[in-house]
Amino acid sequence: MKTPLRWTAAAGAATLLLTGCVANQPAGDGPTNVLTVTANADSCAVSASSATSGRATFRVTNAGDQTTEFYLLAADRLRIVAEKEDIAPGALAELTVTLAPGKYFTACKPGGAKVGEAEFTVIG
Amino acid sequence: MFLASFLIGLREGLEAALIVGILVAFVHKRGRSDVLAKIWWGVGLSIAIAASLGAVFTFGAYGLSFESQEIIGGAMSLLAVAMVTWMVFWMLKAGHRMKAELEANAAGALAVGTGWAIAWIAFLSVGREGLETTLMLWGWALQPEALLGALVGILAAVAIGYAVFRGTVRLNFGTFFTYTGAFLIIVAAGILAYGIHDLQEAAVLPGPFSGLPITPTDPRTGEVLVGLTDGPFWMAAFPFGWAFDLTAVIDPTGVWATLAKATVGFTPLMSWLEVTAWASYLLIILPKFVAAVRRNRAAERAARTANPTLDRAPAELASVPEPTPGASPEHAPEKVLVPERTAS
Repeated sequence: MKTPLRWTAAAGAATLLLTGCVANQPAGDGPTNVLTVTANADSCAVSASSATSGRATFRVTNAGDQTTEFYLLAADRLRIVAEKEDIAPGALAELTVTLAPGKYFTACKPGGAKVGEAEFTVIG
Repeated sequence: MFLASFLIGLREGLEAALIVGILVAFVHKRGRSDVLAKIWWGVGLSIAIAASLGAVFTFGAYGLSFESQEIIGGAMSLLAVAMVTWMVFWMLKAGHRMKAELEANAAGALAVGTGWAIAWIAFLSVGREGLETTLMLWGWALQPEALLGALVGILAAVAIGYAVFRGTVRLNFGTFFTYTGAFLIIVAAGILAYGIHDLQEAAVLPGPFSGLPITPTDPRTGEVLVGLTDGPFWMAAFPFGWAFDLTAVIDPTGVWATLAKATVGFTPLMSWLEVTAWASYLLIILPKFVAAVRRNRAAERAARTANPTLDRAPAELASVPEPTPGASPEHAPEKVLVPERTAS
């Protein structure tokens, strides 16, 4: 009874870890888009409003004086495609995602409230 | 920057430190240093796994997706809630059994197997936030101020955990189980709430991040509904919208919000599903806990009237049987302290 449960748990954890992988470095399938984001108390400026599909890295600098979060939202502005929490003031955090073509939104949450929501387009 | 990252470190570490502090106090009171070693194994293993996985995902070829990170955190939270709840009731029962064991003049012994269960609880409590925290710490490897702040925050959490250990280890058995048990139940309710929050963020559970048509939104603005009266009809935000949004009033990154999140699990923005789970857990578990405590007290009173020689604190009697091998000398002052406490 106990042993199968343990194996199931281990298998589940391993599956999660393996399927949940996002390539950090280019693996020969095109360059990584690097976008810089400057987060402030009332803004969330992304260096470009579009990117080509594939890997993209958002380098978020928190220029405000509150801990912030960076969100990449789906076209409905509800679903989270990716997020980076706990970016301390002055700190730099990186978020790497694999993007499919489509419409997205970027936003920051300094002190919990969403600011600087902007459209972000990924072209095939 | 230092204060902000300090608070992040404190928040990530505090809950685990509190739970481990209570676990250590518990096995310490029972003089089981072999279980103590298992707890440290659980904690150490958890930190080692989290730190190495964090490093692999930060510097290796592949990172961990946001969903997986949330699912791991959420699933471990739910497991931790189940195990902490089980532990509270088990501790109460163990405390109750003490009486019979003491009357038989047997040394208090933890049942076979429970030592590892306690180690697993320590493992889960630390590991729950561990991967997320180490990913954050490794990400700050080149930013000494943020890194230092977070590490000092974690150390502060450990110091608070130690203070909890020192504070509770001196209590007599009955008081110890009542206080730590009630506290752990409140902590577990909080862990349940944001385990659900993590799973909602990953859209594993339905909620504000599920998208239409599950998420209740304002038809004009597209914003998620909040509270009781928001939306076209009463309770439109229930059950997959937000219960309340106090982020305009309470800064979630501030000192008080940090402490509230790490102890009772309160955050300024909570979904209805989180609040419902939190309230249901407390409504079911707290009455059971109170009933168990009452049963213990009644049994203790009955034992006292039946046998007046037992009219002393169980903790005091607990130190009478011959010490288990390897019992630390810190037990000695306990013998002196306990009678003073019971006299008051």
